[in-house]
Amino acid sequence: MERYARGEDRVFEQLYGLLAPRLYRFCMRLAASAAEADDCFQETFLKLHRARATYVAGANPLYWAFAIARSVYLSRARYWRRRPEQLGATRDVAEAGELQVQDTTPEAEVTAQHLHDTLACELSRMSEKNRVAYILLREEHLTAREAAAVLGTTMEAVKQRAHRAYQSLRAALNTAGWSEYGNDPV
Amino acid sequence: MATIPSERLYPRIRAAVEATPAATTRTRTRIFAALAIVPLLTAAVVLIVSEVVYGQPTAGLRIDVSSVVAMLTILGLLAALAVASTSFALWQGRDGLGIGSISLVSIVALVVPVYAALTVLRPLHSGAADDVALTGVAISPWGLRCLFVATLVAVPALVIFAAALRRAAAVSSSLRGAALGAAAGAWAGFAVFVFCPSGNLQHLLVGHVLPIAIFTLIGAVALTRALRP
Repeated sequence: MERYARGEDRVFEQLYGLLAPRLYRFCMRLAASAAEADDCFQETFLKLHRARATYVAGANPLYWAFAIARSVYLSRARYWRRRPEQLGATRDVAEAGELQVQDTTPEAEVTAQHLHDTLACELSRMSEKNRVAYILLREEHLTAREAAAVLGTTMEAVKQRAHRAYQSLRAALNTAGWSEYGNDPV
Repeated sequence: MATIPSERLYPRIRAAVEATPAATTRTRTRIFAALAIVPLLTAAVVLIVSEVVYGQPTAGLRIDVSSVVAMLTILGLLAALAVASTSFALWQGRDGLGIGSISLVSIVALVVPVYAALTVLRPLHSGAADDVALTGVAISPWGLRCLFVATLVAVPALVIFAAALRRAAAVSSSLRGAALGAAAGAWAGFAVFVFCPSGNLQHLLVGHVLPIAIFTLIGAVALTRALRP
């Protein structure tokens, strides 16, 4: 990233290779649909390119990219809030099936699908602040200090938001019949 | 769920990046330039305007000053306020994401009251200079001339700060804009303190303190988009 910030355009491909997988996953978690995540990801890279001179040598470029991605996502969300547009049904990113079930009986698949729907619904319902804090701490495994820097807030606030998100996810899953001490429906 | 970007995205991103120009002057260089230019600009504006209006370069520090020690103390504290608020508002931090939102809120919330406490609670001037007979210059109780001087300092300062941090605030950009506005206001406040010998409370509040609050608001509104990546 330091070389790219100095103006070496030829290292872009290398930089893309390093940042893209986690940055894309982060965008997928932020956005409501795969198409929206793609747009967010592309715009983030473009903004990262335009802002490359602002990169501080020695800083973690991934966390800097996360902060830019969130800024892009919030700008887009504000834009669409001002200009609401009714789109057709789209495939939600969380609907694509990440949970792998060992026992692939029809009942188990239905249960897994139900839990997926519950998770997707709960993640989309919670506030953006709680969701992002949860993603950064629990899924991207940032420390509270790093997540606080990315979100521009305090470590305590990040921990509280992530905890609230975790509690609401757990409550939703319990209501849907999942138990954290075993997958048998309660 | 797909967690790697589709291969069709890369050519699109690559083409967009190649077609988009990007500045290569490092932000740190621009910040150092801003930290050097704004004090010089402030000094130049004060010296010129004070010479034009009062016939002497630093009228606020020479006319109707009750105590030289108090004057030097307040002058030093106001300079420290301007330098500190500017440095914190421009600071990028080791992550390149700037100082936290609580520190930014502190700058935004503290600059106006600290300035008012230093200059209004116990004014340095008795108010004798507000009489035309002493200086030969009519000083408006509404501080219009000081508002003008404050604008002459704060507007270029705000533009310079925005240029220094252009596209550099990925986090809390509105708060960062407000903090930069407060810093520009602090320089404007320093300038009118050096320029103006008035001790009239209304004049001090409207002509000296109000511009700082106004430029804090302007910074929050006008700088946000320029500061975002």
